[in-house]
Amino acid sequence: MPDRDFLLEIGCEEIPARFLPPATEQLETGLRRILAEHRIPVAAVHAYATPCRLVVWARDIGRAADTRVVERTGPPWDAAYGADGRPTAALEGFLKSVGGDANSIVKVQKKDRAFVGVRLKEKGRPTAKILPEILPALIASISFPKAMRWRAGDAAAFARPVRWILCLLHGRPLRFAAHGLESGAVTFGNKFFHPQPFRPASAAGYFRKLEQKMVMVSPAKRREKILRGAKMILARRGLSADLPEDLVTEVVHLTEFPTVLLGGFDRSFLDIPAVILKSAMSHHQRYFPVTAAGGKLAPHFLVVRNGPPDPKGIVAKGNARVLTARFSDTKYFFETDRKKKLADRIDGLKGVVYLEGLGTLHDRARRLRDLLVILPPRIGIDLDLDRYADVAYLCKADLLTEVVREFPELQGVMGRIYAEKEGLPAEIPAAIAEHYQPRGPADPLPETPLGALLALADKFELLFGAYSVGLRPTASGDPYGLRRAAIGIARILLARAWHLRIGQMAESAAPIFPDPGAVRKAAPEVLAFFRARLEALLRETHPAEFVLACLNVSDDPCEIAGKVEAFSKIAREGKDRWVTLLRTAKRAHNIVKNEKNLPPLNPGAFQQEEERALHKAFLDWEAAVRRMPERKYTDRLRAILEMAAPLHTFFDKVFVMVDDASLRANRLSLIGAISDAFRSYAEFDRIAVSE
Amino acid sequence: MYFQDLIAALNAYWADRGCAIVQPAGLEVGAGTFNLNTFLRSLGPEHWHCAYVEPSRRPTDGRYGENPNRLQHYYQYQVILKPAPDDVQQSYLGSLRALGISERAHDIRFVEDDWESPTLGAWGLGWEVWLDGLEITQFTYFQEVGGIKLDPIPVELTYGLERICMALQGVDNVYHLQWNNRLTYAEMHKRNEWEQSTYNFEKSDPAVLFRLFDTFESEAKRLLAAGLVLPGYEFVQKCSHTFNLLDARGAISVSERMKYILRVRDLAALSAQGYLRLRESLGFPLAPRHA
Repeated sequence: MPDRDFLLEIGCEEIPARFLPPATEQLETGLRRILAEHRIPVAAVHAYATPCRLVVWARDIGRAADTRVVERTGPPWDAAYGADGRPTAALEGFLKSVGGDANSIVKVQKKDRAFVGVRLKEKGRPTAKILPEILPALIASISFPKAMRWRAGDAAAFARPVRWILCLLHGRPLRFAAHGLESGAVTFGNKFFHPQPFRPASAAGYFRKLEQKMVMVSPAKRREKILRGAKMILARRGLSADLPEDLVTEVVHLTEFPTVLLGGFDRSFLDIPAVILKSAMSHHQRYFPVTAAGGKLAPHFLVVRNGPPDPKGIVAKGNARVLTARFSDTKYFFETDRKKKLADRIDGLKGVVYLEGLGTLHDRARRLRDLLVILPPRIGIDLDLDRYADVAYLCKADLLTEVVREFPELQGVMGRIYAEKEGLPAEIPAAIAEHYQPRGPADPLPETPLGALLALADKFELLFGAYSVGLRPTASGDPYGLRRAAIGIARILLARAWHLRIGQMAESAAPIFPDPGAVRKAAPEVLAFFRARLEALLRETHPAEFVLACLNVSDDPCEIAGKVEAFSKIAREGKDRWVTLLRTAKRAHNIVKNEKNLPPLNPGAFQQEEERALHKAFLDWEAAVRRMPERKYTDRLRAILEMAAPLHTFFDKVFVMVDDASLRANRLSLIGAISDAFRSYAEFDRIAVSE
Repeated sequence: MYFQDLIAALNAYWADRGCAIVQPAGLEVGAGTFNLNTFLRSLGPEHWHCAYVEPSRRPTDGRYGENPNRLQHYYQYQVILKPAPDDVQQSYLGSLRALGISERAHDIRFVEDDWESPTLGAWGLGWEVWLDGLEITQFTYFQEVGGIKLDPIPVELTYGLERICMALQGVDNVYHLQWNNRLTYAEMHKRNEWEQSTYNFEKSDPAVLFRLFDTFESEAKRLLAAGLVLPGYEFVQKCSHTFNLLDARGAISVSERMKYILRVRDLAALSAQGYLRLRESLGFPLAPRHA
C-alpha cells in the first residue's frame, strides 16, 4: 500500500524527561497549525516522544494545498469601460497582468466607489514544496525550560544536541536544513542495542521497525508495558506497589524500551522509617517501593531498565548495590541524628541564614512564636502557649539533621519522627509535620488545631517577611512559594471556619519584623495579593460574579466565603425571589450611585406618608437585622427581601427627583441609607439579573 | 581491573582518539575543571583535546576513612574535547567498553544534570551517566566559563574512577579496591583520609586560613593585573581551596559564604579575560586555519 503519510523525527541526545510532554504537545499543535495555515489537508496529527526523539506523524496528508479563490482589485469601475461599453486599456492591462478574463470580473465596492475585481482560482502548491520551507521554523519554535548550544558559530539552541532528522512524505525523504543537519531518510534504533542507521520505507514501517530495534515510540505503549511488567512481577510474589502517576510518567520518558526488574535489599534496613526508604528509592533512584500484604514495606524494589530483560540479574544486582550504599548512609544519618534532641538543635538555627534582611532561621522561629501569641485571640480561640512554647522553634530543628540535609523533601516528616521518638506530647510531633501543609493544591490541610495555627504562622511570616524585603512573585515564577502560602492561609481558615481579619494582621505582626515600617508599607499590597488568591480559590466552586460582589466588602476570608455561599444558596431557592432580591438592592443603588455629598437624613422634612412608612420600615428592618447572629450570612441576605415591598410602594407613590433641591436631597438620603445598608453586605451591582 | 589499569586503559583509549594525555594541576583543586587544561583551554576559538587524572579534594566530604563511599581526596578522570564531536556519546560508550563494561549487559542512562560552578562562573548542560543506577560520569557541554560565552562548545567528561572500579571489581567498600596486584586503596589512602579529615574538621587554624585567603587573593589580583595570567590563576586555585578548607571547618557563616564565593568568582573571571587576551595576542595558534 502506498504511504500516504508524513513523518518527522528529530533525533537527539537524551532530553530531560520533564521536557518531553510539553515539547510533544507543542510539536503536535504546531504542525496542525501550519498545515491549516497552508491549507494542506490531513486526516490526523499525532506527536510522540522518547528521550532520544521527538516525532510527529500526519496521516493521509494531501499531495498539495487546497485550491482557493483569490480576489484581486483593479481599476475603478468607471475607468474600466468606455462610453461604448467596451473595456478600456486600463481594464485590459489589469486582466492581462493577473491572468483573468471577462468572465472572472466582479464589481467590488470600496467605501463609496466601485472597482473592477476578478476572482481567480489559485491552485495549491505541492506539499513537498511547502513543507521544507516551513519545517525549520516549526522545529525552531519548540521551546524548552532550558536550552543549550553545541555547534560552533551556531546560535540556535535545543534542549540537547540534535543529531539527525528523519523526514518522510508519502514514503519519500523530504530535504531541508536545521541545526546544521540535512533531513533525510535515515534513523537509528536504540542507542545501546541497535545503534546502526536504517531507512524505514514508510511511516507505518518506521514504527514497526523501531520496535524491533528496541524503541517504542509511543509513550502510551511504554507506560502500558511498565504497568503490565510491574503487575506480573508483583502478582507472582504476592506483593504490591504504589505506582504514583508522576513517577510512572517520568520513567516512561526516561526509557525507549522499558523493562521492569525486581531488586532486593537487606531486611535490616527496614528498621529505618519507611518514609525515608521510600524517598531514597523513588526520589533519588526512580525506583518503585514495594509493599507486602498488610501494606508494610517489603525488602524489594522495582527498577525500570532501558532495554531487554536481565536474565543474569546483572542490572538488578547493580541497582541493589547502589541502593544498599545509599541505605547504609541513610541508616548512619538516622542513627547520628537520634543522638541529639531536637531541642538541642534550636541554637544551631542561629547559624542558618533565612532570607536576606530577615536574619536567621532562629529569628524566623522567634517570629513564629510571636505569631502564635498574636493569632489565637484574633481568631477567637484559646491556645495554652506555655505548654507548647517551644513548638515554633522545634518545627524548624529538623532542618539541621543529616537526614533532612540528604533528603530535603522530608522536612517536617523527619521532625515528627524524631519528636515522637523523643516522647514529646503528641500535639507537638503532629504540629511539626503539619505546619508545612498544605504544600500544594492537592496536599491535605493540618489535622490538629496546633498544627493549623503553626501553619498559619509560618505562612504569614513568609508573606509579610518576603514583601517587607522586596521579594515578590512574578508572572512566571514564585521561588519563595508566596502564592502557595496565601492559598494555604485561605484554605486553612475556611476549612476551620476561623474568622480572621487579614487586613489587621500586618499591623499586629509588623513589630516582630526587623523593619516594621516596611511591613506596614507593604500591607495593602499583601492584602490585594491575598484577595486575588482568595478570588481564584472561591471561583473554583462559585460563579465569578458572586465572588466579585463579596470580595471587597470584607478582609475576613470566612465572611467573604460565607456570603458567596449565601448567594449560591439563594440563587438556587427560586427565580422569583432571586430576581426580586437583586432588583431591590440594585434599584436603591442605581438611584444614589452618582450622588455626592448628600445631607444627613432629616425625618422632619418628609412630606408624604410613604416616605415616613419607608423610613419606619427601614429602622425596624435594621433593628431586626442587627439582632441576627453576625455570621448567619444566608439569613442576612434573605432579610433584604423584607425591604422589597416597602421600597416598591415608595417608588410607586413618591417621585424622588423633584425640582425642590432640599426635598430631593432628603429623599435621596433616605434611599442612600438603605442602599448603604445593603452594600455593607455585598456589591450587588456586580451581579447581573438574568430574566 | 586494577585501579591503576583503569587509568592506563582510559589513557590508551583517549590517546588513540587524538587526546593529549596531560598531568594533574599539581595544586590542590576541588575538581579537574579547575585545572587550566579545562578552565582556561575551554575559552576562545582554539581546538583542544586532552585527558588527565585529577586528584581532587573536597574537604567537607571527609569521613575519617570510615565511610565506604565518601572520600575527601579522590581521583577524577577528565576528558576535554573542543569542539564537541558529533559522535561523542558513542565515543564515551566506547571508553566504557574499553574498561570491559558492555552497554548491553548493563543499563546505561544519561540522566539530566545541569552543571554549575558558582566559583568558576561556569555552567553547562548534560547528564550524569548512570551504570545500573550508579552515577559514574558527569557529561557536560560547557556553555559559559569565567562568565564568558563559549564558542565552539567543549564537552567535558568526568569519570568517577573509584566508583567505576568498585563496580568492576565488585566491591562495596572503596578501601577494598585493589590498586594493583599487591596494594589496596586502603594501603594507599586510608591513613591520609583520617589525617586530612582531622585537619579539615578539627586542627586547621581558621585565623591562618583567613589570612592565607586574603594573601592569595591579593597575589592573584596583582599578578593578573600585571598580565601574568598563569601564575595569577594558580593563586585563584589556592584561594578556592582555602575557601573549601574554611567551609569544612565551619568557619564561614552562611551569609558570608556567598561573599567568599563571589570573591573567587571575580578572580576566575579576571583570569579568563586575561587568558583570552593572551591567546589573542599570540594569534590563537591552535585555532583552525581558514583560507
